Amino acid sequence: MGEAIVITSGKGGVGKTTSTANISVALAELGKSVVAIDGDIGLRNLDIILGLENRIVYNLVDVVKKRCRAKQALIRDKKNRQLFLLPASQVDDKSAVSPEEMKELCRELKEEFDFVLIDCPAGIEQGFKNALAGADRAIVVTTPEVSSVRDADRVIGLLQHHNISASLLVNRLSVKMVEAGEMMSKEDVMDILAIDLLGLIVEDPEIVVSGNQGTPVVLNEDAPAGQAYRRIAKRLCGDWVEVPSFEQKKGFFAKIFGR
Amino acid sequence: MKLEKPVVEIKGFGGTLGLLLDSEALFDQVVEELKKLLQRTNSKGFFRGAEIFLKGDRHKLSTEEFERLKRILKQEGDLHLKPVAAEIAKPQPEKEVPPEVFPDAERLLSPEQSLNAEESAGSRADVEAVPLSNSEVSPFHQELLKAEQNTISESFPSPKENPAENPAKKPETDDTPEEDLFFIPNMKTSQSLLVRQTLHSGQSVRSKISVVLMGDVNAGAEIVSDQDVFVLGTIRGMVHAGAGGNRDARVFALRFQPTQIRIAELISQPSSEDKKKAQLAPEIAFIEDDVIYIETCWKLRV
Repeated sequence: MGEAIVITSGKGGVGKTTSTANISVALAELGKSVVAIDGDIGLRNLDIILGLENRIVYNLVDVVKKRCRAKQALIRDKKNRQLFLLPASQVDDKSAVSPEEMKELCRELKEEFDFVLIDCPAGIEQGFKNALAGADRAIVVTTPEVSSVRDADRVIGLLQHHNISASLLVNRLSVKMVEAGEMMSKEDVMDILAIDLLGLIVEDPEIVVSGNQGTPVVLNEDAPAGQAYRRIAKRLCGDWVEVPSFEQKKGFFAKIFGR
Repeated sequence: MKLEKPVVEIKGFGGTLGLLLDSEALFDQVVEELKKLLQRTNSKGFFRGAEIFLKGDRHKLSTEEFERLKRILKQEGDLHLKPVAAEIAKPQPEKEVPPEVFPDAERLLSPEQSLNAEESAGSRADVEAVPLSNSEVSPFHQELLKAEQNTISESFPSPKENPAENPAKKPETDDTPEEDLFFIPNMKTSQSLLVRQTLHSGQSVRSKISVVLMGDVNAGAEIVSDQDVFVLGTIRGMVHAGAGGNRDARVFALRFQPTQIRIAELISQPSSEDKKKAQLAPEIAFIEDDVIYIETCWKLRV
């Protein structure tokens, strides 16, 4: 029996889909069988990030409405045989699926796979409720900006109501800006949200490049973001790797006299 | 305020709920007050199947009366009434257990034991059966108990202020029950709700009694209380104390960075400069001359 994890944030554009894609690939690279569900019906993106756009035949709505079997709709990844995508429909909207149907689908998929990752749409309406329905736990993605943290906080409250435990993924942290005092630090964010930190991803231009090419950044050994996603996957498998501190090395005198 | 005893009271005792009844009151009055109390506090959604223990010996109950109270508590408040724990009747071998742990010990009782207690509940009325008989109390607490009994029986000052909670009150006449062991004579007390979590955006706590929060009130979250609010953390959201119009209510927090603080009908909206200047020291908000002041406090002046 696998585990269903929803990746959510409240605010849009903070990196839910990118994180879903990269964590899925990283988990598959660790030898786990993974299915990534695109919960963003009507605005699907996960297929693009994974580079599987032109292989879509059936989608999530087809499966839920029993127009096909789940096996038929799953798209196997190009590079990793362990990874599958269940794409969203582009022609329907969020109301095409009900939370009960999602629950049933997740239960079914959990029997076959080690991990079921659900990419949650932005917002806290129907799509959010659908994505939550089948999940055992949640990853809340936030960037170190006030608006993003505020929305993440709201989502954490809602997850608590649904009794789903949440862990935090801080995305797009700029070490330079934090040191200049222009951006919230990881500690500031954790202080407000008061949940466990699952991972920290620094701002990395490689993300944009790899997203456009459909080759997730995890596959790039040198990219800092790729390394961070690999560490997150290990943590999800129960192998606790420390979150490295990204402070730039201080000079000898700075160390003695403090900041 | 504990100056006059209400007919019916529901109180927390170290992790469990206790039902206190006035021994002077007639049973019908007790029933009526209990119903009122449960309806007023809208406790059904609040207690959700919690256990409540009949505390002290303020009322002689027959088995039928006990069952009737049990029914009312179940229907109106979703509470399970239990008689006082059985271990009080049978002395425990380990004597050095601090009194606070007894409510927890009650929960550990086996079903038969609680059944026994239930059967004997009807006749349990004498002082010996009261929780925390002296043999189980540390010397320090015995002293306290003695001191308390002396003073309370002597003098009773007129009540300064009493929440409109208990209209059918009677003058205080009965002995101090032992469960009030930790009450200093005439101690100023009020009931409070202890919340042990951070309130996230969109979450709100509304209470007729004081609220103590172990955690933060995040932006977009709120606490509304008719009494005082204590936040053992940071206020980033909205806190409303004395919502029923009590201008004596106060808001205390380890750190104030609120979007708003309200006390009674007044609203204080700290400017962003105020937020930057926010002290690292605990602060307290109160009303003076129709203005809400937020002051650093090293000592709570009440």
